[in-house]
Amino acid sequence: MEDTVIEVYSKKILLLEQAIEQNILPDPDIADVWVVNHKDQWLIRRFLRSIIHSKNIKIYLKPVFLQKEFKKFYAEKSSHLKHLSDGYIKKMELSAKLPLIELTERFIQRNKNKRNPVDFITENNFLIQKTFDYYYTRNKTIKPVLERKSLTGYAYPRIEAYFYDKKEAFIISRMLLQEAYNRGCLSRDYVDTSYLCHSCHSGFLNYREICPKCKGHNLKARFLIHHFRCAYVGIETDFAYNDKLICPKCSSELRNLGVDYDKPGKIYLCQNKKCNHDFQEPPIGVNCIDCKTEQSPYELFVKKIYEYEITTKGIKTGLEGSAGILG
Amino acid sequence: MQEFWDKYFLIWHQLDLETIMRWGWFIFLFDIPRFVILEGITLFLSKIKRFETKDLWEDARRKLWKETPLVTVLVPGHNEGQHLYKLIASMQKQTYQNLELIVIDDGSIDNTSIIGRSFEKTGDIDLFLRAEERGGKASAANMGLRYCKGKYIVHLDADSSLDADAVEKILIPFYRYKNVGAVGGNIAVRNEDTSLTTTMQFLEYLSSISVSRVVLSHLGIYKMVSGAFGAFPKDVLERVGGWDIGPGLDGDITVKIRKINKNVIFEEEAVCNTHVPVTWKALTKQRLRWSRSLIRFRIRKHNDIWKPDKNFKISNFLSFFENVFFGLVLDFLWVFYMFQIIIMDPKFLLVWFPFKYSIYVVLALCGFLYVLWTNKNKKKIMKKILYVPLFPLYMGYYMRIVRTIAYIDEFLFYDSYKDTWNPEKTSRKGREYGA
Repeated sequence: MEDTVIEVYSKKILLLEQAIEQNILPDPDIADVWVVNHKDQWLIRRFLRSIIHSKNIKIYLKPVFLQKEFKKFYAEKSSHLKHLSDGYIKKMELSAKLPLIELTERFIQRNKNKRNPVDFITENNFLIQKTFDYYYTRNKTIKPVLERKSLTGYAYPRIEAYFYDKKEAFIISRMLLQEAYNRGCLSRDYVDTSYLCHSCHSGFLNYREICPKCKGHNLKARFLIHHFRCAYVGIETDFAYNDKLICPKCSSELRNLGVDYDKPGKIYLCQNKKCNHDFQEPPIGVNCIDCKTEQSPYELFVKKIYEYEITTKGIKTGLEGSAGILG
Repeated sequence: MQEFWDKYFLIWHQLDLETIMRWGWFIFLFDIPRFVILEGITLFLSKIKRFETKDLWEDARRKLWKETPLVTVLVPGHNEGQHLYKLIASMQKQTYQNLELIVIDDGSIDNTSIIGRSFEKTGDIDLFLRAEERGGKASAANMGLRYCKGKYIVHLDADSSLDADAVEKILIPFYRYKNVGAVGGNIAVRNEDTSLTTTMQFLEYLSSISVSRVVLSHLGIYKMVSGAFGAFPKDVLERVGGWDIGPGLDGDITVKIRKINKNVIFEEEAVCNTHVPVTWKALTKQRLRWSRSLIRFRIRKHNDIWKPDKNFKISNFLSFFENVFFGLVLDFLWVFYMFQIIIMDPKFLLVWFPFKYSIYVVLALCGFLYVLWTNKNKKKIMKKILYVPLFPLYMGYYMRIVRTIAYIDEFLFYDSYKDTWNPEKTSRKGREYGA
């Protein structure tokens, strides 16, 4: 069964339903615009990724919209759908999107013969070209988004969608962006800094106080108590006696904080039976949830996150197609 | 010049025996017997004993090394961060190395905690404890005691620097004698060339610590383990409950240890070099504090030492008596006579002062000879011989005046309970329960 085509503002709209269900890319020539007409976010995501993976310029540049009416079916955090498509439209209202649609159409017409994958030396060069084509026609910056499911917590969803492996997605996408930036094709603005596991670059890390001697993290923190009258200093349990605080040195009762006694600090006990070290300043230990590597904070991999924009030089290079990317 | 000496000898002719004994009986009855005869004889005997028991000392040393117990070096201090580097260096060159260095930062308001923490990270300090609120020296030392693991505890001031064998030497008496509750180390002045003040203290420490404490220890009435350098078995410290609120907490803990029938020994060969106050003002402030603690602890807190009940011990009594008699009684007597002369016959001072001064210069030279005899570094000491004639003025007038002021002040006003050396919160409790 074929998906329905309707016409709005003399633009043909393909309502994607079966295509998403079966993950089959429809013929790009039967409609000018594709609109997702499905409720299952996972199937949609799979389908949108197929579009991005496509090597056909008519497909990977095809304007694809989501419908506001379906938004409630997509989980709150699935902002990735928005980033993998051209965003939402309401009640098939396309008027605001017409410039984009027409610009894209013209761009495709002009460049469809210059986008043969075999003309590009490496696959990465073709990926750069596809990325340029998309962001140029959409007139958008390459924005990092906070994404819990990505390796580091920050993702460039459209670029990372080229890859199936999380780690590969992180490394190659950053490499491509860095390279384009070094060549002057992209300019960048600082967004954030992230601390990543030094062995797998994961940003999903567990921070906890550890024992400086044995690195164990089963610690107990207790308050020190200073009894003014006899100058005894110990922890709370030294004084605990039948719900009262009784000084183990002079046997008098500690009644008022600040008058009879105070708490001049904290002390930690390592509960590892072989260690039992007492100390006041626990260092922080970092454990990577993904690869289980134990590391100290200063060993973490520090990565700056940028938002990229195509420069004039970038536009010139991108428009030259395969010839430009080669240089 | 000739005239001066003529006048001087005339003085000697003006004085007959009766006048001399009338005004100066304590010189012949106490000062000469004690500081010349008793000290000389005892020093001689103790040296002989030490020589004769050489083998026993060597045995004790071997026992120490056979056991090699963990020893905690406990350094409580307030704003002492600047001294930590030197302290650590002095620890690292110790011949005895099974050490655990614990530094307690008593609410310092400078960068002590940053310095200390970084040394803790590098492992140069085994444990750096910090009280965010200043609690006084006693509480800082007690905090260290709560967390130390050593069998013996060596208590140090942060600005003291130890001779390389000092820790080993201060531990040996625990293996040489039985039932030792504390060992006091020898304190030497290391900034003796800075000012006249420090030079005089250099001479003072030599005679009143190096010599006098050997004598007191030999007689079994040594009662003052300096906070700057002393060693204690951990179980003894725990039995007496650690340190109590100062000032003078080091003397106080020694008394507490004596009271549980432990011996207190002075070890002259364990040498700690310390910085002493450079100006007269700073020295006066320090000595006022020290002297007040004589009243606070010897007369007030530990007044049971004086009572002949079932806990009475003659050695404890004598050690207090010596302290109070020579410190307090003779001082007041001296003041009393001074006033008497000034009121009755001020001109007599012109005769009496040169005479008394001459005798005390001779006594000081005698003491200086004892110092030279007992110390190894004779050259360093000889350099200061020209200052010996000033010593009677320093000890006899300056120190006496300072002490007397402190005693009167403490008797009447309980000023040690207000000393800013302790934070107000603990002083208040001290007044409430101690005074």
